[in-house]
Amino acid sequence: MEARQVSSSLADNQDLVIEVLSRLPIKSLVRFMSVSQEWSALIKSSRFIAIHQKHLQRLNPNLCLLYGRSVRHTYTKPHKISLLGKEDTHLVALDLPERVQQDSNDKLIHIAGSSHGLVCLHPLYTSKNNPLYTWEEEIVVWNPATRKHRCLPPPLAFKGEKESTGDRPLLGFVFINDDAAEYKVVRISHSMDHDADGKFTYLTQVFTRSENSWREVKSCVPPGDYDFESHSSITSNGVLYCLASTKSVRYVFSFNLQDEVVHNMPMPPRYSHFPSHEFYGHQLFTWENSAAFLTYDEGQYVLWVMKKASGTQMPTWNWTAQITIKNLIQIPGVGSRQVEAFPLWGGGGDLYLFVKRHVKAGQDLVTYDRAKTKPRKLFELATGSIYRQVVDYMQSLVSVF
Amino acid sequence: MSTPAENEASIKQESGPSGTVQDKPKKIVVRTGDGEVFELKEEVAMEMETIKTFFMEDNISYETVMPLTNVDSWELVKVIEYCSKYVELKNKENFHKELKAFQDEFVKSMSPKTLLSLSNVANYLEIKYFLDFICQAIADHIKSKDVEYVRELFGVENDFTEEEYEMAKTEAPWAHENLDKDLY
Repeated sequence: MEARQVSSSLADNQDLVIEVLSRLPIKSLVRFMSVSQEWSALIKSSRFIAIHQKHLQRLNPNLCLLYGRSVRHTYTKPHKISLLGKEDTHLVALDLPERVQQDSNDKLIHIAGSSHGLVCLHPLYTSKNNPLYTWEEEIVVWNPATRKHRCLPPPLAFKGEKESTGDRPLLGFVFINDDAAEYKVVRISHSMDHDADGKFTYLTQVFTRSENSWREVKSCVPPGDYDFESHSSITSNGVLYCLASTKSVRYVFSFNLQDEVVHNMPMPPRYSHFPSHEFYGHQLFTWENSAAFLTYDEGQYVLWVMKKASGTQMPTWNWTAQITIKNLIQIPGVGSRQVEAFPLWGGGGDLYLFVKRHVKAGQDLVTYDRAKTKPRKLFELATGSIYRQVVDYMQSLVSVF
Repeated sequence: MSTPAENEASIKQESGPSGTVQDKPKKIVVRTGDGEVFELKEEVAMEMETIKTFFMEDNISYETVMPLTNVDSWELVKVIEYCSKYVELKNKENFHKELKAFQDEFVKSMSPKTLLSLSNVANYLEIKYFLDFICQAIADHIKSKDVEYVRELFGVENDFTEEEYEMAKTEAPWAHENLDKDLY
């Protein structure tokens, strides 16, 4: 049988070429950009990227990234980012961009958010080059799959006063528009000194890919004392959430990146006042597109999820105790050792928990099956490292620039 | 399944919803680009949107021989083979397992150029699941091949300069590593 000569004109067959190329892994596509100018333009087109993303999502749903840092100073690569899929049996280590990996012994990276294949990293560290030993900050947008990254330009400085060097600024990241591949980063920082009433000034600024510069959002966060627990912040569904407290009352601060509007939401009454020894982990996380946190009470862990009340114009939020986590002790290999859970993520119906190991220093990652109310899998994490965050992730060809 | 041309006359089926029930299953007749005539079972023919639309839209009688000028006879043989099997397995319990076994056998001896031709046909005849399958087979085949191989297969001309190509390789060396060595 004679195979008919395939038309070499892409114009005739572009849909067909898309059908084939959209089923390829990213490594192949990065390489095939060199096949011809036409193929390069096609692979970089937003239409193709969207089609390809759908295929990848179907093959690999419920991907997440884990970030941890080695506590030992002798490691050359102290920062660890790993990829994990729901059905995977082991974590896959990813290479961070070198400038991010470069460490001055105390660099801490916060993942501000991840969307459409892009991850926003927020490394903070003190540098010996800086005589005041105040911290240096970088904001990096990274695509782990294409291995490209960019460093955003330095944010705007405070006018007429100094910025605080004690607290990490809040950082949020969102992807706005599928077609225009527009992303937005928000940064909220406060002044070093407060006024006579104990209030600090806050500077809210946003960076968008299309504007390619920082822009102040005026009158956004009024002067006050919000005492943000910035390490607890997460971006979920286009909203930056952070635990905050004013005059010993705890609440959740939120900034909607789309509207650029602030909302403060109360915590459940039990946990809104200090001290609250039952309030566990001081960490917000994402659970099914909402903000959530975990409490520990009489031997049981309870997951609280923030749900938007329907039928109201202004967003009001209610906390509901969603699930009680049982049987953590029965994790194979854990036995009766003390479990210290830092809930970090809810994806694909499972809750991801970091459990502190009792004997040798380190942690295990446990995925907890919410439906079956029992632990599903356990992953041993690198000894001597402390893992801090888990975020949603999907692979894509989206450009960082 | 090819029928000599003179048997065309012996097809006596009624077409359309008002047709009377016959003992013989309904057949649809097509003529490929290289002049061969094929008789297809109705249920298999209806898996191909292009054929389905042709007969259903204007209520064309099944006595009409549909021309498939863009399809060669050997290609149609393969398409019929796949669709018949798909229809047969569709409602079975082990559908996925048995289909996978059939798929592996189906592509086993096919050259990449053959797969490309079949993808063209699948696209033209609008058979979604067959198109998915063939395109995935092509993707799996070229996944770890180098740029030169892919150009040759798709008949694409290289319009990059040597410098541009080298620069691309330097920017993302990881994407050009660990490729298939046995290419041809």
